[in-house]
Amino acid sequence: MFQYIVKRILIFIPTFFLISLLIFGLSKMAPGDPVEVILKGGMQSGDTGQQEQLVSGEKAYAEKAKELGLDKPTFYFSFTSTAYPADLYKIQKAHHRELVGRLINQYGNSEQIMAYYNALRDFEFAIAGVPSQNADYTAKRTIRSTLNDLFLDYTDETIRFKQNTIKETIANDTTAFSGFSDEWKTVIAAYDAVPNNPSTYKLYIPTLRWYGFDNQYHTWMFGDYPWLSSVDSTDYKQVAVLSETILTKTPKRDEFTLTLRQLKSDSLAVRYQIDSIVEGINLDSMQLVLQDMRQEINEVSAGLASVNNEIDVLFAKRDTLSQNLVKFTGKGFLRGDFGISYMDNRPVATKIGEALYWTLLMNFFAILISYLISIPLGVKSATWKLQNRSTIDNINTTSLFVLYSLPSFWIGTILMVFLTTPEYGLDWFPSGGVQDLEIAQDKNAGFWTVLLDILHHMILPIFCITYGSLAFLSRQMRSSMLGVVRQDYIRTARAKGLSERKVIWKHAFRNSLFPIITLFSAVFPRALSGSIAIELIYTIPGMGTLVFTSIIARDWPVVFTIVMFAAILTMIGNLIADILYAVVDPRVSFK
Amino acid sequence: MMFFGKKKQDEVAKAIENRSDEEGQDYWSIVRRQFRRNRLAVWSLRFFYVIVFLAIFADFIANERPLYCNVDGETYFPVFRQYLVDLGMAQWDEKFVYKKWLEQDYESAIFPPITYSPTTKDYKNTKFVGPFDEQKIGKNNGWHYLGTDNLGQDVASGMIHGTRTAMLVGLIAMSIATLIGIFFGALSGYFGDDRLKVSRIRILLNSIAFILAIFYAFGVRSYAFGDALGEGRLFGQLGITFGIFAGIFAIANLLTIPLKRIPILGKRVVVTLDILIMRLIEVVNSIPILILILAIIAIIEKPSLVYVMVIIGIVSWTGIAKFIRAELLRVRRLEYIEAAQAFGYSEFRIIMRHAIPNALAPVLIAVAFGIASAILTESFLSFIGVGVPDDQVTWGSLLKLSRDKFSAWWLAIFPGMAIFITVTIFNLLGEGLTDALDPRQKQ
Repeated sequence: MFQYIVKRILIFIPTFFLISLLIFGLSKMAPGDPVEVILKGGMQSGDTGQQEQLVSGEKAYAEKAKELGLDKPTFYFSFTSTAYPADLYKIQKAHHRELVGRLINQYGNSEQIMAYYNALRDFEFAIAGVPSQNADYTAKRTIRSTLNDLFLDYTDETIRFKQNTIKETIANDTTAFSGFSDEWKTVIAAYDAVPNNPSTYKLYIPTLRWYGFDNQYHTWMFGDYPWLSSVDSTDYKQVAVLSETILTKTPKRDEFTLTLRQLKSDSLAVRYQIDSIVEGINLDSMQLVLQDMRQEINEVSAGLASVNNEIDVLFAKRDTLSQNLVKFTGKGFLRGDFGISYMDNRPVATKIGEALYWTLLMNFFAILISYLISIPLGVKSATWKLQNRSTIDNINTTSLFVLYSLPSFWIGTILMVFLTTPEYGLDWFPSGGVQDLEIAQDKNAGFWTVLLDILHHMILPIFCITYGSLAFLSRQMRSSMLGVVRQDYIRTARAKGLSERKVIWKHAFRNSLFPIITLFSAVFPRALSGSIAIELIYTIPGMGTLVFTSIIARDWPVVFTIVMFAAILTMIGNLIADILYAVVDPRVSFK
Repeated sequence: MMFFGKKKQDEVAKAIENRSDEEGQDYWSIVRRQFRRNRLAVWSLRFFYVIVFLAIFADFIANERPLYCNVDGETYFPVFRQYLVDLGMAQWDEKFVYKKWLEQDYESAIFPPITYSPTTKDYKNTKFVGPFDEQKIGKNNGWHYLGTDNLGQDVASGMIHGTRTAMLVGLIAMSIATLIGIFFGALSGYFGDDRLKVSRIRILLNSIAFILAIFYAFGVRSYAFGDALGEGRLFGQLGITFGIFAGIFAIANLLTIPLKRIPILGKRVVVTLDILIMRLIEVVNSIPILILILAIIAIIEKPSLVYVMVIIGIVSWTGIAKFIRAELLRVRRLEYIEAAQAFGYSEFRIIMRHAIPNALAPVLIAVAFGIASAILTESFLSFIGVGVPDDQVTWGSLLKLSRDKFSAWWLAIFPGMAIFITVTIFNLLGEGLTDALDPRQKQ
């Protein structure tokens, strides 16, 4: 037995890694660049065409990619053609990488292609360096947008067409761009070298390249944070302390700024009164007041300046410190670090925790109710069959089968349509959500009010996820009861003269429970992945909604974690089911 | 619900494996008799015929084109002609192109019972007109028996044509699943852990061939493949891929013939195929199917029903593989297989000609349940609006519309009813087949 469990757990390990590879592969095949998704608008700043913005945009991209570990090679090794350079992954942006990859796929000469790519980038930077007051606006827009296109185009025809567009724009321009014709000629020359010296044969020679352990998959799975030696944390702590100190100073600065603004407006009012010589005021006392105010303003602005100074010093200190730190992406999945969601930058663990709360709450009731009803119902329907009460037995089995076959998303929709709006006069339930907004925001709401409100919202969804498993469990219970009753020992019990009630409940019932108990193992993974349909229909922020929205938004860290947990739970569930089989039925043996 | 069904399948698979080898009567006649006894299953079979009829003749039941018409003294059969036009063998008269079908002036015409195609927009009956509401009926266009949606599209027509979609999804997805399932199930069941003895050189060369085939089929052509996937030209690419695989493996296996003579390379070792394939099944079964399907759909940029079918097929073959494996574990012990081996037939021929045909019956169970869950999955995907193009009218997409307008009860009731009935029929067929094919029932 013990050996069997150990063996099963050992078998888990390869299965576990295979699943992780599968999901990782899927995420790498998905279109879109996660870094750009996170930075969203930030990247478009390059479009306005200023050099600093271009540089800062690229810097932001590089930092984010580093933070997420996306600047590393994808896997331990790569198996591609020799034509692709080994450091292709170092090209930062996904669409730049694709441009280079596609060109190599056409011509196979990576050196010339990299030269063209670098020439294109140099030109982009040079153009961005032109001060906007010296440049013709339309020409600038044309050049910029055509350049952006050139970073996407890989067919010879379009590239040449776009190159001509830029060439003509430069030639016709009378402002600052006219000086760039030579630079552009080098780009064209760099491109010309590409189709002229193709080495397509290289594409068909496979190479195996080893990238080592510092790769994306390894980081995600095992983390790049050291395992044994703990990192010298004094510097990290100092950075944290500095951040904290900066945070404590900021309210003081804000206070100073506020007082300063108030004082200035007050003094302006006083001066206005003095200037306009409003009747009935004492001019001298007003002058005194003004003087006082000026002094106060001076004091406050001095205070503000000193606070600002302090904060600046702290910032500078923190920046220099954190620049020298080795940054780690994370501890990896196996050490409980699931990463950060691409969608809202929150830790995946937090997001899943919040969603899990609602799903577990719903499923707790659903499982409880379905077991509480289905076990007696299954036993009862078995006795109906045994007593040949065919009418009630037929009605029961048919209705259970119908319940089992009803798609839950249809029933969910129907209940939603008919029972949650005044349209049909049956406005009994709230239409979606988990709590009333008013009650959720009301801090004084009593425990029972909140609980009742949540239950009120939960009744329909819980019903929808309950009835299917209820019907299934009842059918299962019935058939296992019928199977047990045919056994010899039941005949013996009957022959002993025991009452039918005693035979059923004392002798048959326990043994017929086994299949039902083992089915319980299937419940864990189900609760985790949630009932996507029901949660979507009733807008419950549970696991189902989370996994759906993350998949749609290609928020892979969340999807990874949920799928991995679902897989782990399924495997554990299967193991528990097998062990339970052996525990309750001594005839089952494991070899 | 889909995954609860697996337990029972496993039990039946186990029973098949342990079935006694001497059967008194013809197996099929027993099965047929058992199946006929189950009245529900027999009725489901009749309903199934009706559904298939609706799916095949959907164009003749719900169509905006008349079956027969007479315009300006000329006779046309537009519904039939549409097939020719779709095949590129004919063209429409100009008058039919510039004027809508229902607004033509016919001298005489016979229309299908429902005079709307699923995407015909009836501008007089837009904004959710119910079956019992007041409908504006024209000269040619008939009643909307099951109401309309926001754009004035006929719900009844959508449901009739949705039958075709549902049947296609069930059929194609399950064909793919059956092919994969039979392949893996037969390998694992027939060879088990002990029967596949292969020379070292063959293992080595085949592994190399596998790696090279992946390189030349996917590595070199990754961009072409990705583009084809995005644009929906998948099948041509799959054909090329298959060709590359076949070619490389053929070369590798031809090379083994001379190399096998060298004693060290020619030594035969046992390949534990069964364990490997069972691991693969475990991996696929460990991931919740729906999440796996959603994750695969997420990487496709252009939604299409074909992908939905293929993906459902790719992830739902494990049940079939288990059945075939159980069946072949039994069949391979039988004497006629030994006889065939004694004749010196190749293993391939024995598996294809002798073992698999005798093992196909239980696959029907898995296929029936599989079609039910494929239809359910497809309608669920169109219900949540993932993976299915927006303009495709399916049962799920019709049901989805009911969430936009709660007062349109006909959109909540009828499409869901269609899904429910179809799924139930296939479940009942599956149950009937399970009972009829279950060896334990015959004592």
